[in-house]
Order: sequence, then structure tokens, then C-alpha cells
Amino acid sequence: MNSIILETHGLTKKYKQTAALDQIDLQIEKGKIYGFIGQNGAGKTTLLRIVTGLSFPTDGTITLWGESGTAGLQAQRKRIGCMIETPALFPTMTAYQNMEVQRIQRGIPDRAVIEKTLHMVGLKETGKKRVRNFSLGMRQRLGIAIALLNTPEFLILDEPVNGLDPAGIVEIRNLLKSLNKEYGMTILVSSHILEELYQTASRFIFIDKGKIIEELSDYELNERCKRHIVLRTTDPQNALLVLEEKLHTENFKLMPDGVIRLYDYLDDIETVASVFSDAHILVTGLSVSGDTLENYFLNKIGGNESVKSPEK
Amino acid sequence: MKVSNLLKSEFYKLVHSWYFWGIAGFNFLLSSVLLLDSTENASSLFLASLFNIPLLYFLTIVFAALFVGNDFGQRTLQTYMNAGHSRGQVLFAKMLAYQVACLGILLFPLLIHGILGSVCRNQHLQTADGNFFTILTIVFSVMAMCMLPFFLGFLFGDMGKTLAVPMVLFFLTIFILNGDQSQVISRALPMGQLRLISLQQASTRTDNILFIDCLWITVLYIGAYLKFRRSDLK
Repeated sequence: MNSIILETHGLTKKYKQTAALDQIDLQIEKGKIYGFIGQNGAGKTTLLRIVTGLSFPTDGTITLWGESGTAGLQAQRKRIGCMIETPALFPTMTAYQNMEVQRIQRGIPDRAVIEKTLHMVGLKETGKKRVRNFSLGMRQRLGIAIALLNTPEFLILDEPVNGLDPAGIVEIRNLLKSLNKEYGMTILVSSHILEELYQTASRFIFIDKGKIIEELSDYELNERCKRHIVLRTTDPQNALLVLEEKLHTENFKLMPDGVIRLYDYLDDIETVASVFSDAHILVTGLSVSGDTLENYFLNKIGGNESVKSPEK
Repeated sequence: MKVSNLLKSEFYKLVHSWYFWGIAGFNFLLSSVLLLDSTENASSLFLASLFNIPLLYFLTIVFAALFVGNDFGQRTLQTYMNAGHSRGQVLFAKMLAYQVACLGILLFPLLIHGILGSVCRNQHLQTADGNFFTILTIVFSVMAMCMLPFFLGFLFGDMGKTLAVPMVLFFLTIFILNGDQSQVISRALPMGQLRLISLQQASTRTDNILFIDCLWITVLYIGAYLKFRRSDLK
């Protein structure tokens, strides 16, 4: 069975001379939650627009469930639910009527699905209140409800928690997780805030200036953001023995480049230095490293150069 | 995905929109008021009501801005493409719903005034080409006339421009139709054709008028399709 839902090869989108997307190669696998991270203007929404049929690539190919070409993609898009940027709503209609328009156009025979979906996003009690009187968070919830109306196999949400209060963010996060777990729904969520996606996604795709700069799993991201002591030595094998025998720790990792990452003694770096000195092992580098999610993201996109700390 | 779903959805939107009913009601009111003046220019209540249709055209421009332009602006039209409908299907369904709405807005007063004239004043529509062809011509002229804001709606994909540009063209057309060459120009422009029919001055054959109207409709529809089929949407 083909587990690849979305695949792009050399996907490029140019607006006059500006490349909004530059040779994007991407694979989205079934059943995972993807976090799509990039700054404003990095190309996230452009890619999502192409996937959902609102825009056309200048170059490259896109495949949905193995189908490509205009007709093939159109046929597969009915399996997708999406909310791109702001929710597409009729302000003078109620939440139910907004859902009804979408139910009719998608040809969903069962009306009960509207109540069920509104209940799922916490909008069942809105009654005759028109959407123009909704708060930003309520509109966002309704946009998500519309995306979920057809119980899609692939859910695409562009900045879905914009305007939601902290409780609402947690609710949507839990909803996405349960949809993924119960229905095996593949979810692609975009955001410019890594922390926001960290607790939801199982894979992360970083995009900057129209290029995918990194793709990694939640485990890999954790590893890279974990605080640790970076230990460089001329004799890594003996250094590992010293860590086990003298410092009584196994909480370390030898990296392929010979660097040792030590996850203990973070507040006692002098002890580490003296133990190696006593063992006559030459230490060429010893420092505490590890990023917050925010720093990791900024370092990836080179944003730290432009972000200056406030002067005291 | 079926076109019938799109049509049902478009008509649901139409029925639940305040502006359709508001514009239709206001048009009926305005048409009835204008009838007091236009009866002097036409031989029956029906033709007097028809005389006012080109003037009331601006209301369908407002309707086009709300029904087409605003649908782009609020990204509600885009949900059709997201759901896997082809752009050709979307354009067709939108056009059909829009034309039905425009015919409803502009021809409802005509129907009521025609019935009133027939019942109260015993007036009957007598035209050289027969009543059926005259009615058919009126329907096609109204459709051709309303096609312009629809085309511009798809060209701009924006409510403001869909309102402003046809409005400017509307006033320009009125200006041109009051000029020296009005008789000749009137035959080529749907607005003018309606005025000629109402004044019973349509010396051109009905089938010629129908041909010109069909040409307008086809050209503007194809124009809208060519713009829409590969355009990037917000």
C-alpha cells in the first residue's frame, strides 16, 4: 500500500523575478502530523495553495495519492480538508448555514455531520448568531470545522491557532492529536512559531526563502535542542571510559564527528574538566550547548543575526 | 465532483443572502416609482417598465460586486477548488446562479407591471416579431447586459473593482446612448436594445439582436474562463 500522500519534485513558484518556492522536494507520509515551520513570507502558504488547487506551480511536479495532472489532482482533492490563511466564511450566515453550504457543495448526504463537527470544535451552541458577530477565535474554530466536515484523509491547516486563547490552543491541539489517532488522519499544520507545533507534530519541516532547509522527527528535534556539554578530545574512546568510571554516568552520546555530548554535570563543568585532567586526556573543547526551540529555529533560518537582544 | 452540487450550493447562498432580496425589493420599488414617468414614453405598462430596466442596471452591478467580487474577497469561492471541483464547473455554476438572480431582480417588476397592465388596463403586448420572440430577446438582452459585471468580477476577483469599473462603464454607456449615433450604437449594446424594444423602435430583426446578445454572452463568458482557469487565487 502506498503510504505517500503528497509528493513534490522540484516544485517552483515564481512571481515575476521572485522565487516564492525554489525546487521543493517533499514527501508527506500517511498517518503522521507534520509541522511546517517558516517565517512570514518563507513560502509556507504558497506551497499549501498549490497543494489545495488555488495556485499553479511555475515548474516541478506535484502528486497526491500517486495522481498527478490537473484532472488527477482535482479528483484527489476531495479527500483533503483545508483552511488556508483566514477561514472562508459567509459573515451574514450562521455557523450551521456556513457548514451547510460546504456540505452541499461536497455532496455529503448526511446532515448530522454538521452538528457533529460543530460539537467537535465547540461551536454547537452558537444557534442563530451570525458569523459577523463571532470572535476571531470562533471564526478560526468554524474554519477548522469546515476543513473537518468531510472527515478528510489529509488535513491541511495554515496557522490554525491564530486568534485562539490559550485554552482554545490546547483544545485544538488535543483535537488534532485525537483525529490523528482515531482516524489515522494525516495532518499538515503550518506556523511561524515552533513552540506551537512542538507539542502536536511528529515531524517537522523547516522552510526558509522558498527552500526546505531541514526535515526532522520530533526525536531528532529533541536531541538537537537538549542542553548538553560538548566535549572535544583527542581520545574519545578513553574519554567515554572516564565518563563511565570516574563520573559514573551513561547519559552521553558519541557523535559521528567524534564529539561527545554529555547530558549530566551541566552545572558542574569544572568537575568534568578536572576528571579528564587527572586521567591525562587532552580536552580540546568543553562547553555547554543546546538550544531553546526558538533559538534552534532562528539559528536554522539565520534569524539570530537580525535579532538583537535589548540593551539594558 | 458534480456540477449539480455546485448549483445547489450557489442557490443556497443566493436564497440565504440579504443583498439578493434587498436589491430585488429595492429594484421593484424603484421600478414602480419610475413607472410614473416612463408611462409617457411607452404604449403599455409592460413597455414602460422595460424602459426603466437599463436605468436600473446599476443595481445588478451592485449585486455582481457582492455575489461574485465578494465571493473572491472572502475566499468562499476558493473552497470549491479546495473540494476538487474544476474551475470550468465553478465558473459555469456561478454564472448560472448569477444570471438567474439578475433575471429575477430585473424581470420580476416587468412581469408584475405587465400583469397589472393586462388585468387593470387591458393592455397587450403587440410586436412585429410576436410576443414570444420579443420576450426571448428581452431575456437575452438582460443576460448579455448582466454578463459584463460578471466578467469583470472574475477579471478582478475583488469587490471594489467589480463595483467601480462597471459603474463607470454604465454611466459612459448612458452618455453614449444619448449621443448622435444612439440609434446605431443601441443595436450593438444590450442596454440600447432594451430601450429600442421599449420604445418599439427596434427596426433590426429580433434574430439579429439575439445573435448580438449571444455573441456578447459567449465572448464575456470565454473571457472570464480564460482569466479564471489558470489564475492564482488568494
